Amino acid sequence: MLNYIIRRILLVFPTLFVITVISFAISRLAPGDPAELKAGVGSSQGLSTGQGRDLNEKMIELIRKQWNLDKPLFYITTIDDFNDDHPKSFFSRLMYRWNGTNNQYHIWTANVFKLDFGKSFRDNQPVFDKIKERVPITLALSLISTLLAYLIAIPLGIYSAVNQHTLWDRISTVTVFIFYSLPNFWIGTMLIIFFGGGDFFDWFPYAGLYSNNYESLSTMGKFTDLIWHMILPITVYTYGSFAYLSRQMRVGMLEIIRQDYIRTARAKGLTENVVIYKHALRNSLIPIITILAYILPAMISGSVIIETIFTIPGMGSLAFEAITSRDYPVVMAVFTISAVLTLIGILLADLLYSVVDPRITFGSKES
Amino acid sequence: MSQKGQSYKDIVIRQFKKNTPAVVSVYIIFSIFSLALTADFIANDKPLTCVIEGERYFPVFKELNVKMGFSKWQPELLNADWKNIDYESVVWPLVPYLPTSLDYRARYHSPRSGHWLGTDQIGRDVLSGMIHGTRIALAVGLISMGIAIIIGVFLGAIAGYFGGLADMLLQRIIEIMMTIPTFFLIVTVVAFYPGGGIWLIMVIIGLTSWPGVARFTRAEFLKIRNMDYVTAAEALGFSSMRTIFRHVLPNAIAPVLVISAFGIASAILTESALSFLGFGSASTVSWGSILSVARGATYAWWMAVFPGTAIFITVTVYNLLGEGLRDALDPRLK
Repeated sequence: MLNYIIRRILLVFPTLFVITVISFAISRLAPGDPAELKAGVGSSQGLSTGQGRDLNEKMIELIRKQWNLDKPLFYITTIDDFNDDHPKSFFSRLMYRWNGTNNQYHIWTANVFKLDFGKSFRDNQPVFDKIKERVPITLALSLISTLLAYLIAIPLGIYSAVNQHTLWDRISTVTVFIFYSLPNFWIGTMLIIFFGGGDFFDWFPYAGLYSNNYESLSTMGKFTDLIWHMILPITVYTYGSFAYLSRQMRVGMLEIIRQDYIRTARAKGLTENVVIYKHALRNSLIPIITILAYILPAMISGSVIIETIFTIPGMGSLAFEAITSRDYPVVMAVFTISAVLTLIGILLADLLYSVVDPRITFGSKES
Repeated sequence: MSQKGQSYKDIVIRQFKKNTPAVVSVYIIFSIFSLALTADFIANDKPLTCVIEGERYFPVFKELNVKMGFSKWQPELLNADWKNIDYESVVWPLVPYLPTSLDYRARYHSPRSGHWLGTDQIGRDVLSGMIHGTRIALAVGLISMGIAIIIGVFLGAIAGYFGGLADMLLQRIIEIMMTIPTFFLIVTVVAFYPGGGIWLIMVIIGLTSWPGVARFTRAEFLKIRNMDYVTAAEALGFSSMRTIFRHVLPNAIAPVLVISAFGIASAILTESALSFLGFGSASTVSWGSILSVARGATYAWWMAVFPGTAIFITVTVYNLLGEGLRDALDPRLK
């Protein structure tokens, strides 16, 4: 077990390396010069004639220096050593230059470890502060809906499995399957169209987390206002993972109640409730817990869509805004942070797994 | 265990046919495919056939021929305004619009005669977009999953067959891939390279969804590599590559089929989500791009209900197909 945890923690470093390289690469290799983007060239604010152009070039130069964009990208640079007098093949004329640590990637990563993600291209605010504001909202929504999903899915799955082949089991299996295939962006849009005050019902607010008069409300009023705003987004967040969980729970339970030790428990005269809730439930919960490792990343990915639909000021909508406005520092930071959150989620699920099931050792299998 | 004269394949097919939802799904998938193949003849802004000044033309066929380079438009028909020609006789397709044909007199029309599923903000026919959208959905599913299968099967086979260092490396790579926020990565790449279009979307979905395939292939190879016939192949001196791809792979492909069906469903979902967020290719009308219009106009319920239903049905039938295959291939159920 200890061995496994150590290996897992050691794996964090290559994972972080890959993630930072990917996030660095997509933002640096994308078409368009970040410095020009920052200077506003090509946009309506850009100055493009005479004196203006000189000014612009100076500004771009300045921005390059300020954001380290004039340094080499990575530790190694390839140089095409082409010489007309001594033509060589493509591969033999490629040269490599070692740049040392004075390169953009190294500087960026070193700062990331100090939790300094640079400043946003859009408003010059420190990126980390922007994200720090947003992460709690996304985490809160994800955790609430994960909890809700587990709370509904586990009893439903158990009931379905224990009453297999009954009408109720069939109805719930079909419903859950439909839920599982419903695209969340569609359901979000439909909920807004039909319940968010379009031409149909005006039951729920369609945007944000607070009403305009939120500040003037009493504590109780604030609470109900928040709940009222959260009902639609939480529904969209929850139904998918709920459906997945409840299917897994049903299958897991069905497998367990066919085991010999359940037959033994029944044979020695235990009541059905004790057999199901004491003997079967514990073992059927094990796979459900590991799914947590898959649900958390899915929720963080889903937040991009759901928060954009419902204009919730979380990390997902921050990511969306940053991507559409090519705010590279923010995109890189959100990408890295959500990967790290996922990493933590997976580690927790693994640890939880070994806590609930002492038989699991994670050592190498002897066969 | 198998009865006389019955191969494993026969048993699997028999088991699959018992599963009504899965069989129905196969029929629905076939229908969607035929719709995609015949989309030009069902929804087009040119007549199927018409007679102008005593001469018979087949404009839709002609257009296909021109596109494939077999033929050229007659000069008088090159920029013809097909809607406003005096025909002696004319047969229009079922839906007389292309997904991109603009009808400025009919903006945001709710479903009615003429535009059976309504129109969008610039008067494009929704039904036509839905019919042509089948192509994008199916192409995205098949091509991106095809890429994922090629990479996943190859890596999974090598890791599972050789084990050791190769296996260790692959497993670490898969673990790393699992922590990458895939959807976020896809959105970023597609948004940062706007020129990539639908092909970039397919490629990037393919490049991020191979780990599932690799895991299943690896597990299957681990099971098979110690079987007698593999040892026999090795003893006969066949190369590793021949043993892997000619002898082991055909017996390990079944779980890959299952995960491919689920993978196609999720690739279709990802593409529609991208188009829904506005990152799809701008020149093509897809189900997701129709749905995205409803985001800005909450009264236009028809822009949400119809494309959403299409995405839902397509995703569901692929999921049902996957379930059917999994149950049919599971030897425990026999």
